[in-house]
Amino acid sequence: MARSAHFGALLVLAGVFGLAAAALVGGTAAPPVGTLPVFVLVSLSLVVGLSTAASP
Amino acid sequence: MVGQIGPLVQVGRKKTALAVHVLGGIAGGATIGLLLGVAVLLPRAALGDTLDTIFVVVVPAALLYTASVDLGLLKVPHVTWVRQTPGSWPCSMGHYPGIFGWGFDLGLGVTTRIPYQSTLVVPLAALLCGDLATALAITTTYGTARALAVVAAVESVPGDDYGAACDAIQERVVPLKRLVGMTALVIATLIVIS
Repeated sequence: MARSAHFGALLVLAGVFGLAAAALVGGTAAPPVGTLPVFVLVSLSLVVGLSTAASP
Repeated sequence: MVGQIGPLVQVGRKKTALAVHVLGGIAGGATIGLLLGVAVLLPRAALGDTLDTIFVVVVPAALLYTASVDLGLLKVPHVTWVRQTPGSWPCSMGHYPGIFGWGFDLGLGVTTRIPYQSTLVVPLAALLCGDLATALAITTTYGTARALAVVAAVESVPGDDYGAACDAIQERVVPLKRLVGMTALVIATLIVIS
């Protein structure tokens, strides 16, 4: 149980980091491609990054 | 990665080693974002707003292509590299610098084997977004997420059976690949309609 909670907490931490990065860029830097694309591309980075733990 | 990094963190302080690995991932992601973000300044100056049009066309098209490959709909050879992070780094560079180097190399995303074709869109989007801050956000998130995934996997291993943990994750590679492919499709749609 403790390990699952630890695992979940780390994944949540990654999500919070990604969303914070997207919010920071989308909110303050006014990206030329628009705020939504920044959010979705950061989400893609999150999903791809989190999915690669088993690769060599 | 888990099979390689897991045993490494048994030497010295485990939490320090994992933190160093995450720092390496953040540094690697930020480095590639900085390089791509700076590299695009010249085309941004030359093309102006046309670069945004290129982004809206090329990135969703690339996502559609890579998603089709990851979902198994398109049977084409995968774009990937043979190179993997050298396992000798902790010996040649020192324990913690080696672990940092592992995180850095993997966080770069483009210097080692490409596990999912949709991964290729991460540096492509960072290059075409035409904005340094956006490029940094995209690639640093990738580097951080990849390192944190390793930490989560290492932390969830009971005892030190990292080989079994690696096998267990490998058995889920196909569902993970589909998840990445589906995410890429949704993101392509969202970029087109935004």
